[in-house]
Amino acid sequence: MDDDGAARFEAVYRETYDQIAAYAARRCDSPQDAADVVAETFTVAWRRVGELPPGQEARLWLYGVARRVLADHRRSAVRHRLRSVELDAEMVDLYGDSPDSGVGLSVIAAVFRSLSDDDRELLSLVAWEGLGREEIATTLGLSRNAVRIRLYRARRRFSRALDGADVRSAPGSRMVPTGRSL
Amino acid sequence: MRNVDEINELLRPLARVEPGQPDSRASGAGARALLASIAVQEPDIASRGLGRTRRYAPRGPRRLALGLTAAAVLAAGVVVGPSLLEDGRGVAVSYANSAVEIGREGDQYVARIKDPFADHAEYTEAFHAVGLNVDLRLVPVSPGGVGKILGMIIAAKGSSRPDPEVRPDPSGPRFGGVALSMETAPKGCRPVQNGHCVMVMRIPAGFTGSVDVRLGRQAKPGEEYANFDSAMAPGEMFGGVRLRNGRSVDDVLAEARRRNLIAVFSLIRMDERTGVMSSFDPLPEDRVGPGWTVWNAWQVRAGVIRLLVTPERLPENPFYNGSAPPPAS
Repeated sequence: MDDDGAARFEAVYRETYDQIAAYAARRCDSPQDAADVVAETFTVAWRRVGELPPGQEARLWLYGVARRVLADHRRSAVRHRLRSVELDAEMVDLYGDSPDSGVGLSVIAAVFRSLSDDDRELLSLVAWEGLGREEIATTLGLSRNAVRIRLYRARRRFSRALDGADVRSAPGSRMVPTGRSL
Repeated sequence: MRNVDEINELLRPLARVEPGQPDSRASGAGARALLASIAVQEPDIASRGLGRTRRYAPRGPRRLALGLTAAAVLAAGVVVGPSLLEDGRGVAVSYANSAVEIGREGDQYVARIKDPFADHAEYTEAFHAVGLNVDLRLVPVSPGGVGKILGMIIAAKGSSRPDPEVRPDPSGPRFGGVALSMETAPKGCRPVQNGHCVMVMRIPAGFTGSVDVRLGRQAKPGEEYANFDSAMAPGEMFGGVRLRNGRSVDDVLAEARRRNLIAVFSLIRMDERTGVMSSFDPLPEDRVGPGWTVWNAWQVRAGVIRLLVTPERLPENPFYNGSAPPPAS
């Protein structure tokens, strides 16, 4: 590999590290798992540095890699553990600001968890990573139209599941559960 | 149905890391150590499975020329894992617990694995006691994968970069002429079949880096195999089956039945833009057509095989177009 590839990898690493770490932390139950996913994602990126797309697309490409690494990790198929004590500690920091554990949120979280992996990933990429349709299409390797249709369906399923759990709009457009537990 | 903004407002508070929050953790010690440890990897070693030499065909010499940040981290001695070597004066030359027994033999440490089902921490404790930074993970595999190294990551440090290899040495990388290797004792035995057969790992005594090893152990009943991609290797569940050019689902299901295997399915999704595989999604059998094409098979656990399929016939087998390591055969 030439020095250009190495310099690019390092630049991309610095630019995208926070976003990939956040992506992993939002989807892994433990900081150790998130550290594994971050380490493996960048290891794969280094191996395939020749395929790393230029500019902003590098981030989307890395989200795609991270998603596959995460899936493998959940299946326990791939665990390289290129972690360090320091990396784990920094991940624990990311977990410091736990989401509000209020009743309302836990109901919404439970409804959200009841969705399929695909639906959750689509809705998360919009709400958490702030990606637009076109960016999601690039990340997931789908057409824009397919993303539009799938997003629509995911929103519909999420809405229906919220209705099923009696989560209603309250004044000020804040969603709260109205009583029945899940 | 709720609109986009409503849904985003509902989901944002659930995010563990607040969306859009500006921070810069890339400069943290852990993030820099990770960059440094990726940087010292030579990709052909990083992805090496010693039982197989075909993973990721080397594309010429690749080594990350470290930039200033990473070089500074290395100079400060931060590599991977707890660095016991620094305070390792007077470490034991041998150590044994119920999981493993490690002793010095000439220019190598020899670790005999007494209990392949022991807790990971017990192996770590023993390696650290003799001053070796070895992270040994025993993972469940099919009988044919027991005692074989599934993957190894070496973070070399100081002088213990692997010797340049003219030809890859199937027994493992060498440090100062001494191999880091895995074998069974008595030589050539199969740990599954013989209670006296143990797995033995040899580590050069002068090795000062850290190594992560994933080693195959017998799977317990129902446990999923970590060597899932060896299904078609000789002696494995689908040994001898050829899917290089794709075969119909009907045809492959008949083969699975002949071998008393249960088949499950995953749909291969292709990235339209790049032409490489983007994901494998589990698919119920009733949604798979008999005329669909099977491009690869993974062994899930004893008696269960996963067939990777597409509804249409692709112009080439996607497992051979460079986007993934080719299947073992």
